[in-house]
Amino acid sequence: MSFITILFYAVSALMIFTAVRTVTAVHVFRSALYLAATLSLVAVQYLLLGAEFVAVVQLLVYVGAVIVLIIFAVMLTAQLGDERISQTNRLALPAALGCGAVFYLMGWALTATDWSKITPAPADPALQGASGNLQAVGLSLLSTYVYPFEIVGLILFTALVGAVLIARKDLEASASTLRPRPEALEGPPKGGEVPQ
Amino acid sequence: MHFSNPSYLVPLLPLGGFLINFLFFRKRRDVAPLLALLAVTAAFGLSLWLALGVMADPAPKLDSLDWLSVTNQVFGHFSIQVGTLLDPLSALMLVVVTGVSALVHLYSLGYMHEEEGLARFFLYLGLFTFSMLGLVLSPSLYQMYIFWELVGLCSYLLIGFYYDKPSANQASKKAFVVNRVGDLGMFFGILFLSYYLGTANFLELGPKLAGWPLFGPAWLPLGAVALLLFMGAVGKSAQFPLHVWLPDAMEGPTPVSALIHAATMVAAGVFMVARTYAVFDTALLSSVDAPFVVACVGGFTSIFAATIACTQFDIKRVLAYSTLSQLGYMVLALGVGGLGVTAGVFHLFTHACFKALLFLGSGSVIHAVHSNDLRQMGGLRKRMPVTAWTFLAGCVAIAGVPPLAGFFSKDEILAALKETGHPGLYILASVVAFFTAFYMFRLYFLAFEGEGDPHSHAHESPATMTIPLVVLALCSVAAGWASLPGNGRSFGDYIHFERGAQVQADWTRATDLAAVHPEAQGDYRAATALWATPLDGAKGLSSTASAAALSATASAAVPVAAPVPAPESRAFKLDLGVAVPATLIGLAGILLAFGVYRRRWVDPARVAAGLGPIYTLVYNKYYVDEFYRWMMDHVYYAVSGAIAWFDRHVVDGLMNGLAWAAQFLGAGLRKAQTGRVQAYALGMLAGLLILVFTAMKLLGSY
Amino acid sequence: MIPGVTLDHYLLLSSALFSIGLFGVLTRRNAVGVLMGLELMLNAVNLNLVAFNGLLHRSALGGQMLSLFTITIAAAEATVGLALVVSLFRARRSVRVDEADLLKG
Repeated sequence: MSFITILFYAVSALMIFTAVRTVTAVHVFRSALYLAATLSLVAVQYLLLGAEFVAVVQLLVYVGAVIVLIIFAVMLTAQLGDERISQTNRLALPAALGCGAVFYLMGWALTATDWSKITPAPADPALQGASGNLQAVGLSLLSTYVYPFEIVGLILFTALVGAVLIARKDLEASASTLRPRPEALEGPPKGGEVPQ
Repeated sequence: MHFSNPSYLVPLLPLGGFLINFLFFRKRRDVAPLLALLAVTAAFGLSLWLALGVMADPAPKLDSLDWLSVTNQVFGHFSIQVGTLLDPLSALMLVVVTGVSALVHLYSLGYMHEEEGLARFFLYLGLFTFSMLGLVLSPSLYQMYIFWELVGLCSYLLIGFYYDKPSANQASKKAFVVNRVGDLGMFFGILFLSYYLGTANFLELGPKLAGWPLFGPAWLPLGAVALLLFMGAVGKSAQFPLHVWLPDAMEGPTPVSALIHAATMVAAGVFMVARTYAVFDTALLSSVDAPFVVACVGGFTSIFAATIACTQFDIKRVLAYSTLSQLGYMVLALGVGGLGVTAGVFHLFTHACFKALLFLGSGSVIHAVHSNDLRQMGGLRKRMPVTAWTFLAGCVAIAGVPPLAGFFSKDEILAALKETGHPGLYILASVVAFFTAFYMFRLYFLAFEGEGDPHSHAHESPATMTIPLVVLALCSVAAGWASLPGNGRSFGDYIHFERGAQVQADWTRATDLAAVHPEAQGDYRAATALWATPLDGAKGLSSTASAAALSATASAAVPVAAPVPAPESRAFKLDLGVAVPATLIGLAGILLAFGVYRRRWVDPARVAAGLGPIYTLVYNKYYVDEFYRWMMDHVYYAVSGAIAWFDRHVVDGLMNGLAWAAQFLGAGLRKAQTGRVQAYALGMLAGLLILVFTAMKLLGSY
Repeated sequence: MIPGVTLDHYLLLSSALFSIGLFGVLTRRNAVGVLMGLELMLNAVNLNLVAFNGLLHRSALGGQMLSLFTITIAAAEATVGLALVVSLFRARRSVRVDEADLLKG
């Protein structure tokens, strides 16, 4: 039993524990914190697998941005008395059974497959001579995966615009908060035009 | 379509009259009747011309097109012809129908003069004439059926002409419904005929029947077909048990009774049987004695109705039952086959003449006395001489006194009965002849003789009514002479039934086979095999042994009807052994009526009282109507009640149950629509898991 | 790479994580809680991808690239989703998922 193996098992066990707490905590805020912990542990797993860039991106984006966003949402939508009501709905038992079945199914399918029969994918020639994971990822982002890279940028832009649109207040409500134009302050306009 | 003769015009002329009257002159009492009369008279003239042409060339002329034509492997070629078939039988009917119709049109101008719906009456008359003419010219049973129903419709319209009289409405409905019962059987007969024989066209019946196998188990199909077709005649020609509509049909105006219920429509049944007689004859040869059933029905009807006619006091009822009785006579004649077919049709012809005369004469009387009741009539001969003398001519004719028409036709019927070996039926027919003479002269003496009511202002009818009477009286006298021999041009030479030569040969062969192989008669396969074996020197009947067996057992083996002799001449033969008793019977009936009703030798009321329950039974028409009412109320409505219950509770219940089940399921399934997305997602997960597990099980990888 | 730890371990781990995330999606009453479960599921997938890449296809980068893109898309989706949650809260003053049953029946 080497140190790495023990580390792997410890991280895995802890990940499972925090994940379970994420979905069972009564306080939503604690649930969010547990999620943060789970995601960080996933980053550790990435490191153990040698995907350093992905691990860092995970920490930056997920833990750094998504969790913050989630906490914002929790704060914005918190209500008094939330903690007194159970956060788990009535479907807990059937859902547990279903999820157990899913886990069993996937686990059995994945472990029953003989992965040694798969020939490993060849190395990308564009990444010849890259030193380390980071350089390889950077190079491939701009060569092999340049299209997805650009399109993802577009998607992010769309999501940004969409989120702003969805989350802003109604037009009529916002119109009433606009200040009237200076000309309209002189009195009722002749001809009965409504100021835009 | 090319027409070889203008026979198609004959029905179209009254139809044209009907259409023009219907479109333009519906309210014109002055124009419509005259136009209708003109159309029918023109049709009559054309019919006479056509009849003369047929007498010169009696071969059937068919102008038709195939309305429906199917060719397949099962039936070969099947077609329904529509068009006209002009042969001696249809030419005769054309003349009779248009002639009587024209006379009735003329008569109605006077009789119906004060009626409200005069134009409507002539509309219906024209429509009826068209329908009847279309019926007699039909080349196929299908076209005939169409016109058959049309004629029934016109009868309904005309019986119910006085639509504000509830009795008239009920009578017209009764006529139509009872007719319909017969028509149902007839239609099935037509369908089965088409199926078994592959055709329903009259000219094709003979050739198709020639191949009918006559040896073996009794081939029920032909017999069933014949009897089903006969059901149509039972309905239309008012035979027992579908006779009940004809007496009630007297609710219609008297000209209607004369035209439809005496001369033409009721004769359609007789006409149809005569047209399709080959089917009956071949059925007889295949040992299903359909003609005998026909004869029995006709014979029973004739004696049944004759007895009722003796007791009725309504002048039209007496004539109605007389019509029933004479129709029974015609059907009886048809049922004995051979010469009987000619005799039956000939009686149809003569009966049309004198029965129309009698009805129109009774109409004249009713018009004068304003009553139908014989007990309120009497002594009319002095006041209405033309009516009286013409009526007397009709009575003498129907009684069968020579040399008037009735004698010739009745004598032919009696001769046919005697020759084809039905002694019981011969005696029955003679008894009916006696009754016929008796009740007709009872009617005459009660209405026209005696003192009558001195205060009545009955007077002779106008010319439009008396002219038809005179014309018909002349016909009643002379019509019988058509059957007298006249170098091959007598009635029987034109209209007769002749068994096909092939059928005759087949019958002989069947008889021989039955003599030699009696055991095969009950065995379908053996019979068919034997029948299919051609006659030749090596097999079958020509060996000496079988020939000996043949001669020994031929007559005893199979009881079939004697073959029809082919007479040298089909003209009227004066057989004194038949003519003298018939005439004496007629005179005896007249004498009895004279004695009872003119000279009061016996008081008829005391006789009736003396007969007691028998008299009541006969007077009430043997309670047939009451029996039918009872059947309807207790049997028919019970059955229909049960069926209605079934329809309401089982059929509708099933439908309602399905609806209820759908609602129930829906309400149950509604509970699954919680509106909560997570529940739906769980459902999807569950479905997915089931699918995956099932697939894994099926693919055997689990 | 790690002695005694095969691909199967990682696969089981990611399966477990996925199932736990699924449980969260199906059972949390708070809409934000549902989204958190969703994030767990996505991370399980990413873990799966990187595990395949790290233990099976060592010389290629496909798994890692795909997981990068997945992280990006997941972030975008979380953004929009939370915007929706906020909008829902504004409309109905509650983010409880089981109270959003207007389509009931």
